[in-house]
Amino acid sequence: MGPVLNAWAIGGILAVGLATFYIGHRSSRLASTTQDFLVARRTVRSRRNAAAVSGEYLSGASFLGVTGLILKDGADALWYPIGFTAGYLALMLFVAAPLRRSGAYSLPDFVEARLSSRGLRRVATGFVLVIGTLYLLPQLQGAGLALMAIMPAPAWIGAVLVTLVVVINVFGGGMRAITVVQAFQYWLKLFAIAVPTFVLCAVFLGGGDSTVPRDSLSQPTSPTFSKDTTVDITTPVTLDFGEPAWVWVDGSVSDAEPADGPTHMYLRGEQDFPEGTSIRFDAGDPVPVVAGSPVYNSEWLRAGDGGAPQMFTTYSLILATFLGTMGLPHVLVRFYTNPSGKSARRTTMHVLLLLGLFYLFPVLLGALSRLYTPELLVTGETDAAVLLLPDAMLPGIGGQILGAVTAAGAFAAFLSTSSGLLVSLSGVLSTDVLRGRVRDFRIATVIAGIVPLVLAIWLRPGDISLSVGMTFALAASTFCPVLVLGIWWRKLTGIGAAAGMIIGGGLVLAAFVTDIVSGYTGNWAPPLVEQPALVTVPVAFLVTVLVSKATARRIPDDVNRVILRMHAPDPLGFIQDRDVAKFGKGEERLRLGSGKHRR
Amino acid sequence: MSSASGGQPGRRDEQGKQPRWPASDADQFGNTPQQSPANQPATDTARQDKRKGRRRAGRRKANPDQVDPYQLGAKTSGSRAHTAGKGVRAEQDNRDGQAESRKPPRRKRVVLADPRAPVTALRTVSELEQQTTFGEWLIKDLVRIQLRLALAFAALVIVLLGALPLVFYLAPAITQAKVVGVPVPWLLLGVLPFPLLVSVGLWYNRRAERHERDFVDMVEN
Repeated sequence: MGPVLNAWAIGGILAVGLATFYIGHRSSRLASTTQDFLVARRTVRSRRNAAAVSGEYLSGASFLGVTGLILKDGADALWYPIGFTAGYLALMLFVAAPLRRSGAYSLPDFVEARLSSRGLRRVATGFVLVIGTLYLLPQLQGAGLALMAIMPAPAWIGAVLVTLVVVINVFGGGMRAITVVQAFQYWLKLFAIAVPTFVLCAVFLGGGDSTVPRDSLSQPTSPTFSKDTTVDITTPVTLDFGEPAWVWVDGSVSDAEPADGPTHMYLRGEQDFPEGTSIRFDAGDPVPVVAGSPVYNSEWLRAGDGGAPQMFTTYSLILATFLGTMGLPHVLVRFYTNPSGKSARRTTMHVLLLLGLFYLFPVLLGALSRLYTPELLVTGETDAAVLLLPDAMLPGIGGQILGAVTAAGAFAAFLSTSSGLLVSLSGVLSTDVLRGRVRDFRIATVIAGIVPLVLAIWLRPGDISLSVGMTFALAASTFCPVLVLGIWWRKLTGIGAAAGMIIGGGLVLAAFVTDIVSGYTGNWAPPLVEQPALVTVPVAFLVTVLVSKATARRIPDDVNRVILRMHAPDPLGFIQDRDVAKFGKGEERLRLGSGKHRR
Repeated sequence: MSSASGGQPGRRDEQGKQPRWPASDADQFGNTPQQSPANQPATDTARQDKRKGRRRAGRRKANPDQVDPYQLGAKTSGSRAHTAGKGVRAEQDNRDGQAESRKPPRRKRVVLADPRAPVTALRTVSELEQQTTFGEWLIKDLVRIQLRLALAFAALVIVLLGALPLVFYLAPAITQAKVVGVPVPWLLLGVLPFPLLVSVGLWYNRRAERHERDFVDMVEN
């Protein structure tokens, strides 16, 4: 799969970059105060906010990753879009309105307002920074991969491009600027995935490429190459030849001596391929897959095919996404921009609608790409499916234009998610680490942009959706217990919340590191390590409750007042006073000191 | 104001000679000629005089050209103290009586309290705010009902969606079935959850908003 220089796609990406930049710049002119930068003055109406939330939330993991996972794992990957959407239902049921009414402007601020503990605030700040950076990494790396798929460019170009546009936008207008940008980008992404899906489905139903057997998805066979294909292995991989095949191999294979020049080999079962090997397949050959994925189409089509372990992984994934969404700092920060608790809840309602609409399309594209771009299964670069599918199905100018549209959508995805993450990271950095003035916000923006960029270029690009899955698990095991118990349970104490966050988060981070190490040393880790939420979330809840019970004397004095403020309906007017009075003006915060001013 | 009412007798003596007050206040003291005759011929007991003086002070405070009523009104709506609200109302009556005798004053808007939180509601709101037993009970009840509502909806979704992996595991035959050429799991996982989630969200939103509205109505009546 050599990169094809697609001028249309480059034009599309540039157009998205420019539009983003222009809209951001136009709204930046209105932004002047800290309120503008952190929460857009809390005046964003629920529909626009919903579009902005969706625009921010539909990251590369949704735009490219879901299709890629469906291409690879089939029916079991359908749980990703379900979980990504259902997370908003949990957010709406348990968190949205009370969180907004608490009047906080960031997660650490909420935690401190509820439990009046500076120490806890620092723990929360730490986890916000970790989650934000972990989430930002795959966005930047994904941008690099996407750019590589459409033009010959080194991986870091995409990451640098995205960082640059986003930092400039956030630098200029913070939340005020990116609200409009993100709302615009939701509709852009919906367009960029819906139109190609409609066209490609029409091509598929109308007969299309006659070399592809159209009913092969339900057959108990491997997918087949529709034309002669050469695959270059760039990272060492184990391929599973479910159906034995004669292929030309240039380089070495696990159980054969390396030969000079291409060798015609008969391969079956699992084979290891080192870096630098290239394999040539003829049209009609069965496609081997990366070991661990379903080999046959019939297997791919069935849900729950992996037996009990697969079922537990699925439940773990459901738990992580269902509860993790409410703990993502960049999602929550958007809910502080609503004017009232009621509008925060309505925002979530609209988000459910917008996400449900969007996720219908990647599913269809995933199924089509199994037929038309099976060569991606060999390299494991399935995330590129959305970008390459149009050209594979519609060779010629039509496919190129559609490819340009999807490439533009993918870049919109990287840009909008990165800007949301950057705003939440800089908001927390500027108010909790620096002094909270507009100038500090700008300094924080630059720091929060450069650090992940360096990490993204330095670290090995993982599977976009998998590292995103880990972020969800982390959010579900740290902030979810604090938010849910903090809002609904009066007996929560600061020590309990801190213990739950540290133990839950520590477990997930340990699993994450184990997973990376195992990835380098032969994949020995059990699947639970890859998706640990099924264990870590209950543990985090349990620890939080038990430690809170043990430290019942430390229940904050003003708990009743805070609960009242969070739950009293908006017209009673308990919500309005705090925001303006205490907004993060650095000087005032310093003078008021210990956080008592929050009452 | 207090200096004016305290210095009543001294002022009456000086009347007609030279105004001690700046011209801008002339209108304010246009009152005094009217009032003075009423005071003068009466069998001046000290008690009566005191009372009249007090009333006049009240009247002067409510003089239509002063901005006082505005400030008082705003203060009342901000602090939500209903006793202060009554005070303002009494002064307003006074002012109306006086307005008949004077040239018609310009229309003034007197804000007694926030229109959305009438005086009757303020008592309950302040009970909520001051954490009385009743207020605490109200809030506990509100939180309990909201939590029950949220848990019920979460349970609904968990039962409907969460059962699917188990069903696929226990009854693999379902995964083979097809409806109009599309395998059932793909319909159950790829399409149906989204309308389900949206309609549950819509339903919950409606219920939660209705409950909040009922609570507000209850507090305000």
